[in-house]
Amino acid sequence: MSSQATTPADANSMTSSVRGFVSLAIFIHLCFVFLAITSNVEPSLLQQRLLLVARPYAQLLNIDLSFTPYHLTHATIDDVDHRIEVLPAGKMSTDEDNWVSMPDVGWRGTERYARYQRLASMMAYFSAEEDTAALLAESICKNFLEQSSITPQRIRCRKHLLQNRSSINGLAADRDPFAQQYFRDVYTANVLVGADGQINVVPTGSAQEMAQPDTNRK
Amino acid sequence: MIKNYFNQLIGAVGSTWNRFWFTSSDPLTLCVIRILTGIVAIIYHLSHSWDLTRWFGLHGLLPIDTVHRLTGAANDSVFDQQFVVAHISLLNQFDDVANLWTVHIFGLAILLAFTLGLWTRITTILSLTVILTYIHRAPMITGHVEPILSMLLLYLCIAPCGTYLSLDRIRARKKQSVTTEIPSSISATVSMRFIQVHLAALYFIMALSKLAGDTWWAGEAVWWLIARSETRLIDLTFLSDLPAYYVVNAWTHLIVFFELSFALLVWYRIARPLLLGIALLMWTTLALLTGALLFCLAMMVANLVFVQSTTWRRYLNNPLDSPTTLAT
Repeated sequence: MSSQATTPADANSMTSSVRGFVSLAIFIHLCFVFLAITSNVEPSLLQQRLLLVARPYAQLLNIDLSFTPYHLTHATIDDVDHRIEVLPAGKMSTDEDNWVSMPDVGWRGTERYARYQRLASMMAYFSAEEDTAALLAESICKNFLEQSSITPQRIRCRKHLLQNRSSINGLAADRDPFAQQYFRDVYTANVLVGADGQINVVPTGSAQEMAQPDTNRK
Repeated sequence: MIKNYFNQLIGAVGSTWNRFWFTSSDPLTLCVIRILTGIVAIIYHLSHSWDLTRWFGLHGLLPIDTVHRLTGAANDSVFDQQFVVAHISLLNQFDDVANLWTVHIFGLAILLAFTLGLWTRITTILSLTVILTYIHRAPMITGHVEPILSMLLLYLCIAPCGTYLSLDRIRARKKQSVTTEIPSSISATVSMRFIQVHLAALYFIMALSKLAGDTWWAGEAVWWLIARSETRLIDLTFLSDLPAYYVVNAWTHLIVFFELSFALLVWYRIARPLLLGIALLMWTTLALLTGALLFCLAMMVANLVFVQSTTWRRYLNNPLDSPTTLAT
């Protein structure tokens, strides 16, 4: 196994007590790594109990991930992308062109682009928790107001459904992956902007279904 | 008889453990990984530059209070308080433009020094701190590249990764008129083994967790990646019809099979070139399919830990890296 070895005799240059101490440290570290990695998806009660001990260390070193699954993707039909959009004051909500998406951050292969997508997935994830979703929505609306000079009157988080194989060869409307039929609102709220710039959101409760984002919050 | 068996077992495990972890080795592979990891870290760091205040500023998308409430850190439970302890970030202290940019530029300078191999022992630890600072500031917007990047940086902290291909080496040569043989290092072995074991464990869990989903068994998973029109970099929807769809099925099965195989077979030297070649192909195609370019690049860099230093020596025939010059 030791393919990179050059001078095996050097192992003796470390005293046995030092080697024993280092071995113990290696063993404990690896235990924490395996515990954190194996409990990433669906931890058992035992793993959850052990994680209470390991978590400060494992999270500090970003081994125990609270928000990211290690498996990259389950690649299921529910593993979808989300969008956050706001409707500027004075615009009609019925015209889809009036809605402003989260900043257009250019090429989709960048981490920058992915970060905005994760925020949208996070909002979808929290859409069932009214207070938390409202908190996020307020931060986003405030950001639009302060940094883009857009006064929002509504905000929504949309789930972008995937095309199945049959729709690729179906009607023209089915073939376009960005057609409106592929979007579902998972969170919508009216935005109230006070004279002092204070923002409050009032969920409209018209979300058509709950999201199942690619998020693994423990 | 049983006592003899256990004595033999403990002896065998002990000697294998010592050979695996404490046989000294040439750190050249880790020096190459240092440069490539540094490049990935710089790209990652720069990706924050456009939106630094938009994310972390006073009226940013994720103010500190919002992050604490999203993570539950505002609560008093043991779990939530552990979360606060574990997610320490220098960026939590600042939300004004000047300070955010000061930290950002200082972080970039550290990562550049690390990549170039300047004061490597210190800048490796500082580079890990820089990356963790950004991760812990807003863990909910981190993705797949961060755990790979922080893993590489963590284990490089142990190794003498500035021994070759570094400014440290040039400085050491200027100071020393007489050169000596480069000592191989146990810490290089420990670092390399940590990366290898951790990486193999990641491959294994990637494969196992995929098998928890029906789509990977049914051979459909790659189709659902192709169908993600907001992330894919290439449009492969022309594979929707038979017989082309068989390619999608095969591709799906091969990903799982390869990830399982890598974790188990990479320990056999004869299998490594083949596995590394397939890994290069797999991560390149997955990058195009998922848009996760930096993650796939980081995985490719991590895979290089299985390339032997003798192989690097064949390709890096630089006078600076003659094995007869002094190690830093």
